[in-house]
Amino acid sequence: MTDRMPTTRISLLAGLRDTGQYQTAWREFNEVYRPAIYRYARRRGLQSATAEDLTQQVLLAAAKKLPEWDNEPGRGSLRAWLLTVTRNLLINEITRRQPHQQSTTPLEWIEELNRQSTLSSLEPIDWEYRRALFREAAAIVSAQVSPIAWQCFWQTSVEGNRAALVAQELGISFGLVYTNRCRVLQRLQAYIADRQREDIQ
Amino acid sequence: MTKHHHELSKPVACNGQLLVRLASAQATDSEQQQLASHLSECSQCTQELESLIERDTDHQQWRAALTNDGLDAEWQAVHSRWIQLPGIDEDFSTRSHQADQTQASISSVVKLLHPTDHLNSLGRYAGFEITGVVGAGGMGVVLKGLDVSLQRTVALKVLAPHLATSTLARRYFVREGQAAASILHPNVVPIHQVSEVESLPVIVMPYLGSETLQSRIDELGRFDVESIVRISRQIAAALAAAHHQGVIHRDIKPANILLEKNSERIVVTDFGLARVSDSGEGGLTEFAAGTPSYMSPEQARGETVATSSDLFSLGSVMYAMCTGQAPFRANNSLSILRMVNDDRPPSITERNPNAPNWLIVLIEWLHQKQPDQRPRDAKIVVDLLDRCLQHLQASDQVQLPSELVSHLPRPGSRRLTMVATFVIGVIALCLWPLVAKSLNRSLDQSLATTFVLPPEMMERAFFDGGESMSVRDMLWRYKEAKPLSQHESQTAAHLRTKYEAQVLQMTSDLERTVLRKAWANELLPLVVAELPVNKAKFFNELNLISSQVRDFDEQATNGVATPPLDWEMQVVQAFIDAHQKYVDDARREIESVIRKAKVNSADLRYRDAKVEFQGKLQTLQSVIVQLEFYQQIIDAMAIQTMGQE
Repeated sequence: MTDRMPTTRISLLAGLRDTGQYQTAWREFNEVYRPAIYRYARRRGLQSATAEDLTQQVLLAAAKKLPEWDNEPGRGSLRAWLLTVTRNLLINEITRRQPHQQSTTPLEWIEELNRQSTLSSLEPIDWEYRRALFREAAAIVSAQVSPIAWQCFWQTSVEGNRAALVAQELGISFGLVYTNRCRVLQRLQAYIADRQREDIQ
Repeated sequence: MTKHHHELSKPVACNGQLLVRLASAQATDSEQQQLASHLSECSQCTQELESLIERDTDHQQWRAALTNDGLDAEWQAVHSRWIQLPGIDEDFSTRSHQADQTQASISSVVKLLHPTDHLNSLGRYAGFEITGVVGAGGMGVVLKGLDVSLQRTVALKVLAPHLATSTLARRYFVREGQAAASILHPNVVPIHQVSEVESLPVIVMPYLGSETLQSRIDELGRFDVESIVRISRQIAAALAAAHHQGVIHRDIKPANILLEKNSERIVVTDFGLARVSDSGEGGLTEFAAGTPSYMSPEQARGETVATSSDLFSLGSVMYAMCTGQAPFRANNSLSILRMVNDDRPPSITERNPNAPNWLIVLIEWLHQKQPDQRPRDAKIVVDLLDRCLQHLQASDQVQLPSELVSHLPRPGSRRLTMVATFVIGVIALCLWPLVAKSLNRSLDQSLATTFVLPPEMMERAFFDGGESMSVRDMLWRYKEAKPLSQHESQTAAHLRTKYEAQVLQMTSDLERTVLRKAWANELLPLVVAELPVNKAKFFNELNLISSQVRDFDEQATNGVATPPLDWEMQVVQAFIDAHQKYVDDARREIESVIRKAKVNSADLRYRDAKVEFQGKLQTLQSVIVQLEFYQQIIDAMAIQTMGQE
């Protein structure tokens, strides 16, 4: 059954208005944060199929709550509101289902430890949201900058290659690798900042 | 910070503050520039910078966020199952361009409607009152309409306007509509009319509601044995009727089989329409919408298919009814194609312990990878299923067919079938130019008439093409030839000679460019769809890109509008690059064409001009839309390439 997720019907079930604002906000939210919810559920030890199911339920519940946003006093951005709603639903749902379980495999556990050591300030679910936002930014910025500039960032910052090697591979000067990387990062950070400003408003 | 010195004259001294700013991406443009030249010469600063970057917390977060882990791969698999859901309503989460495409198709078709006085009607089209949109896909839009004079509800299938600009797609659409119209059988959707309205081809058929075998499988999971036999028998009977008329369905899958409400009577729809998407821009449909789960191996390899291909697909549909799942499932189209070609589907018994052995034997027989090892024709399958049904109803009186009791099909018939398949293949191949020509003619004659199928279409004897063939036919023949076969290399040699001879006749660069444009026009629909690498290489070898093209390109970058002479060539080149996995080149190529078109449309002198693109005079705006559409296909191909690596 799990391979039939009736995502299509969410709009219908939630009685979503056919207006652009809702549709776009919801589509963006769904695309960006769906994997975050799934990943979090898996990290909390749920099996793949259960995690899929849970993701679906949480999003469906969030979508059903969408009309409530209208009545929210001093409402902020729809996206920020959705984040909060989803976060609460998710945490309720997951504690209800899996009271004690932790990560399943030793490998995941080590991964989790590593992550916590570097990003200890963030709750796992908040980290997953953040990660999703970062990845969204990367998807957008990578399409805006030249492929070479993107490679300068990607190779050094993500793949961890040395700038000298990257410069050689791309056939550009060595200093340019750093400046390109810097420019891409600036764009990425600007994107994130924009998003966060939106959420606070 | 670093306290080292440079003996040589340096424009910029070491500056620790600046390094910190660069590491945390706060340096301004001019600071970056200063540093860039400095870093190239100062290894100490470089080292310092690297360690600053490593320690930067932002940097750590970005790395953690963008590095894929096991869960990302798992999510990909889960997610792709979602976006590949069959069905007409687009999922929210489906890649937006696909939804946009569908939306664009619908709205451009809706724009064609004429005003009406009729209540409940959206407008008039092709003489029908349109009451709704049934669905839309990459290929076209299906409208629900009312035939006022006959008071019957019809479904109108309208070719998507973006496809309608391609002569080939249009020709295929009409041709297949006509072919389907020639099949009269209770299990085949009857075609009322094939016509062309305001240059969009339309196929009119009865409106049958929307329950498909796919939705019933989704709802029920597995079927009971008797239902499987009953439904399969009807599909086989529909195929037998179609094959008798020389029509191959090419896209038998549960979503193309309509069920009557609360009964087990079925009708097969979309006869041969799969062909339309092979022919050109529709290639996107293949990437985005459909899983090739029900394709035959020969189809997956892009070879010419015969009637036996439909039988393989029938086997897959039966498998799905038995197990509730398609036989070949993976998280991307390419893996599915590979599985269809190489793997046996997971055992039916494991997924449905109640499936009787004889049914499994039949499905496995249909699922033979070699076409000549499948049942000889659909009639045999009908016959077998008839006997199975009788056996189910009266097991004491009717025995199971002996073919299904032993484990393998009897080998005796195999060689004969092989010869027969070969002969059919040869006939089909040789007839192609004839068919193409006759269609060309009828299309040119009139556009607004209803066509009747020429009965001789599929039943001509051998036709020796060779020298007398047109370039267009020869190109198609080459594309359809089996990769690395003798036939392929012969056709290639013909084409090469022809092309060289034509190029030699041209005296000026302009003439040569015009000639290349003509060739590019023919090649474009061939390279948009799936293409084996060796064919891509050959098309590349036809050397469509030339020095003149480069000249135009340079002008365009200087902001000078250029004639659209080389645009198709560049699009072709982009696709050829993409097929050969030169993703960056492909993207650059298509971007450069789009840039040129945009430069033109920004130029007041040309803004309202019509230009010739793909053999049609059209506005720059519409050319840009098409180019961007191609760009999306190339992006989709690039994503697949990356997925593979």
